[in-house]
Amino acid sequence: MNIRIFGLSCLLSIGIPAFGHHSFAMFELTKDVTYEGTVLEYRWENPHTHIIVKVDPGAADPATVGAWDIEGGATNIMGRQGWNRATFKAGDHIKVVAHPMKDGTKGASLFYVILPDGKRLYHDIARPKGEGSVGSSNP
Amino acid sequence: MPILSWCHWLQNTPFATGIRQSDLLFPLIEGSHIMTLSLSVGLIVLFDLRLLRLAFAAEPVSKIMEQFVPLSLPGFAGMYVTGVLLFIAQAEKVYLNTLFRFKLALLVLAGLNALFYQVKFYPKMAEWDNRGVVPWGARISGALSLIIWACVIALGRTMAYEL
Repeated sequence: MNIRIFGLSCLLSIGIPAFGHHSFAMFELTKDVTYEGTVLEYRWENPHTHIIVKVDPGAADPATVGAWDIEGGATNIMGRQGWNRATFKAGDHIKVVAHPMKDGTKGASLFYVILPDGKRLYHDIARPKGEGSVGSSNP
Repeated sequence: MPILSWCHWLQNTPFATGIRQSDLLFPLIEGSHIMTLSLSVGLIVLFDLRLLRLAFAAEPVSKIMEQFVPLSLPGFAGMYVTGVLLFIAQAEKVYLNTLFRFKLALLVLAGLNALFYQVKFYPKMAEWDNRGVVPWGARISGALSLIIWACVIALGRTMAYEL
């Protein structure tokens, strides 16, 4: 085994997690739905973080009522956007914008959350220019 | 189901949770699983191709095997250890995954196939290797190995879409 090829493979593999653990084909990426409710569970873990959000009846968007599994990125990807294991906890109020599953199951791909002070915390991808996320200086 | 509750317990041990919540460990283990796979399965594929005379046809099978095994075995060990760690970190979810069950069944099949080659053709390798003809059974074993490993990798990659 050529040691240089091995070294190159190591370097190349570092970039791989950034592409995500799986594709986003199962989500309706052009659809931004706002889920406002209570955090049932905040799972800070790999390969994906999950926020389980309960939207109570009477929500602005009746289609969002129920318990939703909002899937984020890996912890290192989210960490670069300013998230950490204590960003949310069960019982917290949350306003999250996400792309729902195409097949209609109660799951969605995280886009961003709107914090009480109005700041947004993004899932790694598609962060519009000029809208700063908390604690991140990444381009 | 007792296996499911055991997986639930395993996934929630501090060890498993630690891996799952680590920014560094999880991607390192995941990446190492793929890199050690390329070493072990990559060489298995080349060896199978030799059995089918589609690669290194001018070289004796024994010579290829002699050179491949010292690289392939550590690769396999690494793939096995990282695979077990990935399972521990997500035991409950993985256990419930249908694709994982197919993958596991195929891994058993790959093992039996290798054992079949080792018992039936390896002891007489010097003999048929000298004649320059690979027995039909060994060729079929090589072809099966190619198919099984391709399926294992495809299943392993696809199941990640569901975790």
